[in-house]
Amino acid sequence: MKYDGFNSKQRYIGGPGLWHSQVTALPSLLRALALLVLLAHLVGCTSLNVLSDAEKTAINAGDKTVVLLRIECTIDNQPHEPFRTSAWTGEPIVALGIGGFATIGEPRRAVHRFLSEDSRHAGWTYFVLSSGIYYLAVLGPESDAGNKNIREAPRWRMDIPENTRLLYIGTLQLTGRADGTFLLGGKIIKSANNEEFIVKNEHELAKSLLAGHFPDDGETKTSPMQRWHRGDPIIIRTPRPDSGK
Amino acid sequence: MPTCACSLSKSKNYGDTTTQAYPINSITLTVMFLCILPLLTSCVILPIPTTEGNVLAGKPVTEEQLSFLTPNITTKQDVFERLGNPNVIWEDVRTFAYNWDMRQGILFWAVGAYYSGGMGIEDIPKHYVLLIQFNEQDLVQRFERMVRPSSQSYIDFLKEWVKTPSPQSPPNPLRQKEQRG
Repeated sequence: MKYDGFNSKQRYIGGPGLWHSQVTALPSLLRALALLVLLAHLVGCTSLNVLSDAEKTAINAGDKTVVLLRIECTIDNQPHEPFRTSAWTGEPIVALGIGGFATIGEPRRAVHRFLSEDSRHAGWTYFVLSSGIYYLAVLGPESDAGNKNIREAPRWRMDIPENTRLLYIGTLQLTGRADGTFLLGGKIIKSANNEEFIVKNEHELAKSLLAGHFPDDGETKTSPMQRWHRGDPIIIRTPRPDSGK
Repeated sequence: MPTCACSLSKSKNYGDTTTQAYPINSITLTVMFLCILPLLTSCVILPIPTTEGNVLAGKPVTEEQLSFLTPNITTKQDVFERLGNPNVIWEDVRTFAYNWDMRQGILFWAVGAYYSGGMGIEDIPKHYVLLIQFNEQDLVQRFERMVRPSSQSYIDFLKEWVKTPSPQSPPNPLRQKEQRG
């Protein structure tokens, strides 16, 4: 009788059920562990989620808007990339959600999209939305931002005007703190935001970034997002009939 | 040794049926039961209705509180002052929605699988909505206090109400009584 699982070598030493296992599984386990750690580091290379042809057409036609947002993040007063995927959790430390007419403002998780790798490092992200009123939820910076309920996150109201191709809604500053380390290393990050968030206006930076990627889509408008607090009314507006395009 | 009194099997004889009881040791039965128990997977969901006493979310609006609402007379400002901020403002159809949830029951659930399991109690909410639509002069056009079915999304519920052709709300009976008094 031979048992090959995990490179075990078994030897019958007599009597019912008396097998001597010479377990040689440890090197295999270490190899698997090393592979996992390597994979964890590799997942840091996230997709940019670039624009589809249909989206480009809709933007050119003025039916959809590129909504640009920047998140600046500090951990223990040191700058930290908000969209860098953690090697230990496989998730970015900031999660975003968007709610609109269909959900009556209740945010649903939004995919992180980036204009370029450099802009991702600098904290710029964007959404492609039709005109209307939306609510942006921002969770983090937290190591487990990917697992938390986005509906509990602080929200901002975004007003996307009609016939706008490029819109900048502000630069949101988030703060966090390191609170211990994971078992295999890596900081456990916890949010240290108070309820008063700062939204900066970096119109010129946003304008030059968008102009570089969308040279034919005209001027960048700025409409700073407005903080929404629990108890404030959710304002909705019927979407244009062609907004589903 | 105690024996189980129940008859567990029958032996049949055609034409002459006889029943033979096989006494089973209760310890054996217990052991058998315990052996089978880890193999069972099941769940129990038991809804238990309760009285509508508990507010789960929002601020309830009673029928009496609506006595001030009179179509074509009450202004949007009056509504703000008496009822506060609405939960939802549907801008282009000039509609306010006030939401609150009352507990209409509790749901007891238990799930067991093999040697593990879990159980809990959840509230069963009843979703109330007060909808008020204004005309272009910001006067109340119509209003209705309703219960939203849990199976219907909130936006579908709102769309359906807005589409419902009832331009004139029935006169407010409480208001009429007050005026007569």
